[in-house]
Amino acid sequence: MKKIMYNVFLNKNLLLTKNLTQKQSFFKDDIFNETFRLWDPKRSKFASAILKKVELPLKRDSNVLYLGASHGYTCSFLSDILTKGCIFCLDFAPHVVRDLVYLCEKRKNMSPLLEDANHPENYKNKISKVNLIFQDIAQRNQVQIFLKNIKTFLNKDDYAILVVKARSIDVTKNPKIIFNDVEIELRKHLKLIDRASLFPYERDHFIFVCQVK
Amino acid sequence: MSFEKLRLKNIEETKQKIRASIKKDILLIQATHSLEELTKSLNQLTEALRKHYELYLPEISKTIQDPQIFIKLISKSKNQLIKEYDIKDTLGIELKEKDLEILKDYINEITTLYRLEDNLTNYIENLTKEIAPNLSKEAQPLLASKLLALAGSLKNLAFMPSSKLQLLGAEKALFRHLKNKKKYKSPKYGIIYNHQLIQTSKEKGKAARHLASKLTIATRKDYFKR
Repeated sequence: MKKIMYNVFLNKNLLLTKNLTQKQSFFKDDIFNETFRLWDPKRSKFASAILKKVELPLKRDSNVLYLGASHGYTCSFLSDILTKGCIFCLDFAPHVVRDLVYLCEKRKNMSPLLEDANHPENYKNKISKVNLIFQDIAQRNQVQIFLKNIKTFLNKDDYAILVVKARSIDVTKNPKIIFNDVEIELRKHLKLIDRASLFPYERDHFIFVCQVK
Repeated sequence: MSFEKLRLKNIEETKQKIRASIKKDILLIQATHSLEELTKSLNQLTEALRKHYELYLPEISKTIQDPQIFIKLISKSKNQLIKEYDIKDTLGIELKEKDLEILKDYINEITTLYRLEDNLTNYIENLTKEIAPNLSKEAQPLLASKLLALAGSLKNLAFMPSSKLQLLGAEKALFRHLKNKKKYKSPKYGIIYNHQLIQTSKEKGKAARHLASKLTIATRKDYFKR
């Protein structure tokens, strides 16, 4: 077993995290054995980014704001890693946040938020200090939302990660053109550290790792 | 404020928000989905029952097409049916008591499911009339409830341009057209095709456009009135 990050291990091809709540399973087939949980890269873009060897600025004491948490699959694994930090999971569809609330009640470092990521001023006072933003939402204006949230929450030298889904920006355009446009837009405001396509795991997805100037 | 306190507060607040988000139109949409699934599976179940029953008395299943009447008929006994329909020489076999029992059980269950379908349809019609009176007057209540289900909520439908409402339910054809405009033509109508105005008119595209604009106005009236 090889250690990749804090609490993250690679066993042959399988990505594992050390379980924060012992022996408890939250999703289908996520229990590997008593101490580890199995992380499926096809369900989680963060996991596929790790396997693609993207440089991810996640430490165990980071405070993360996760935009587009959905059922909380990725969030639950991030909370395994963030043993000294915390994570705020935000989504705006009530029926998926229901699952998220159950998850947050069991994990002490997760906090749910039912808000629209378009309006960061609405949930500004529900969040303590944050130094990393991870965004994975399927909206047309996802880049603008990303920049808006960075402006409200991050300080200089903090990191932000954006997963772009080309199909939700414009189905008719070629994904490569969209990714180029996004990169140009991001470079105007941020320092780009790493970027990669998530190809074998997700189609038409691209990940950008940025640092605030 | 410490993280622990903030977390508990957020959980409490989120729970309240989730509870508050469930309104009447969400209830209606869920009922519509249930009805759709029920109808689909009822058709399959009836089809299976027909095949099962044809081993016993195939003539009835061949003559009667309507599923509800068919179910009602076959709950009678075989001798009765033979007399009623004057069947001389059936191709079916005699079944033993044991085999007949399970068939009867099956028929009873499907009959109750048909009753449930009727009840659900009634419920949906009444609820749609209550939530969107103008829309259900303009379109039939069942069509209105399907439109609401496709849009996601009454608010979404009210904020929709009428051209989008016209194509609700034809997303596949629309995106096929957007990707390759030369090869595929744009669809003219989506689910509103089931409306009798479009069914009866000769210029279907034109009728769909008119109907969609009327439905949009009706929905907006419903949404902003309350």
